[in-house]
Amino acid sequence: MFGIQALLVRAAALLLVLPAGLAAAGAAGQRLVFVADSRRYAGWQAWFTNLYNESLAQFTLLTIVLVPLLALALSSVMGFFLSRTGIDLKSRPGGGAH
Amino acid sequence: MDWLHMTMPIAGVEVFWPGLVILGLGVGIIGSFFGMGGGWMVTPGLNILGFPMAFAIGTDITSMAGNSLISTMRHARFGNVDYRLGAVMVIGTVSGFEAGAQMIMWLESLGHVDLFVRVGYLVLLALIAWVIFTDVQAKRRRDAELRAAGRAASGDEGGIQWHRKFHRLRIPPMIHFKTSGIYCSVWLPIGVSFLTGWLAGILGIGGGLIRLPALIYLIGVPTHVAVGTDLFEVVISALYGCGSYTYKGRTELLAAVIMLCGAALGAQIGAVATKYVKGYGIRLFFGVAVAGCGLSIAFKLAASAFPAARWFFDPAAAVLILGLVVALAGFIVFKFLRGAREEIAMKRAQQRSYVEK
Repeated sequence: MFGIQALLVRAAALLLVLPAGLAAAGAAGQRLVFVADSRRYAGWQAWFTNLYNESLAQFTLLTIVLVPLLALALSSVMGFFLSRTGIDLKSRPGGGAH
Repeated sequence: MDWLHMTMPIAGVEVFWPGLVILGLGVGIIGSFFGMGGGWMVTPGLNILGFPMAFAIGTDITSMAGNSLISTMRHARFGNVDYRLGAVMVIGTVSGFEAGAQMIMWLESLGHVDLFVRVGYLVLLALIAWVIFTDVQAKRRRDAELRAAGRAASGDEGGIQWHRKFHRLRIPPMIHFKTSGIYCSVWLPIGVSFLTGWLAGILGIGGGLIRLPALIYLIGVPTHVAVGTDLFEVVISALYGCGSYTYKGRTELLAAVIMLCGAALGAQIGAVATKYVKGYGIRLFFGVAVAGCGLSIAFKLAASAFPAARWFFDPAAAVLILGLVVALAGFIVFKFLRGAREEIAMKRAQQRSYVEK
């Protein structure tokens, strides 16, 4: 048992040290920059590509807010239609067991 | 047929958009049934549809965040989500994922990212498939022995029991996870989630593919609870991954939104289908999915290694992965329809007998 514990402690130490080294190694990759060609678009697509080119922070914020909101909305709609079928959507046989 | 194609504004590639809806539907059904985001299907799928690998990974994780959120909400209603275990695992998942994502950026700068991701996938899938099939075989052997001794089959018990050894490690603090029925060192889920998060970050997946077998075999979570808890973890890791990859400029948001429309329906079907399938049934078909996916990645690698035979390996990989998604989704939809029909018929029969009384 002691042997396994020692091995786990060493593995945990290695895993704690690893991210710092990998973070340092990651810097070179971030030099690659993608640019969307906003000249090809008009309307919302032009706004969309400009947002991407000008502020990745704002584009990220839009993404992480829009995706869960859209998921919640779609889930509610689909759940409503599924509940009309008569299936029990609140429990399963032997719930919580294997 | 121009209307079937759409230009993706960020990546600048022309894409067959119904392919994105179908991919979303398939991954919604399969991901919600097996408790994972489905990156193993979507990343190669997007790549086949024409996305460069760097955009395929970010887009995949973004759609996965929405898809897994829908699935988790449905599984939570069935009592399949161990929130306490999920919350503890977040620590390891997030730190592990960031380490993996940084590593993939570094590999990208070296120019070997596609090869590395595919070899990584292959090794991991082979290992997981081997563990699952060994488990199923051991379970069958044990059940046969029990039947020969005139006793009942062992339910979900009987296959690989690695978690029992890990539960004996009493490194404080110890913690009790009620929904899963587990008492263990808090470092066990944290360590397992860091490892799975790191692999997820490297491979550009939500981590469910690795975390589901890890939850079952290393932590000892019952299969159905593992599915729900895994999805809860996928929501968090995929949202984090979505932010991380989008901030690095690697997400095609429009494609993710299109995929989510298909995934919304698929996720509901997949989650409800778990009501009608036993835990070991889920494990066995998960193993089949993993093995098939591994074979398709092997074809892709063979195409790179033998360019003369590319005409065979590239289409074979595409056909295999699409065939696998269709077959698994078809199986799950079949289980869903049959189970739902029986449940509704039983309810009607009960109502009839109640009225007659």
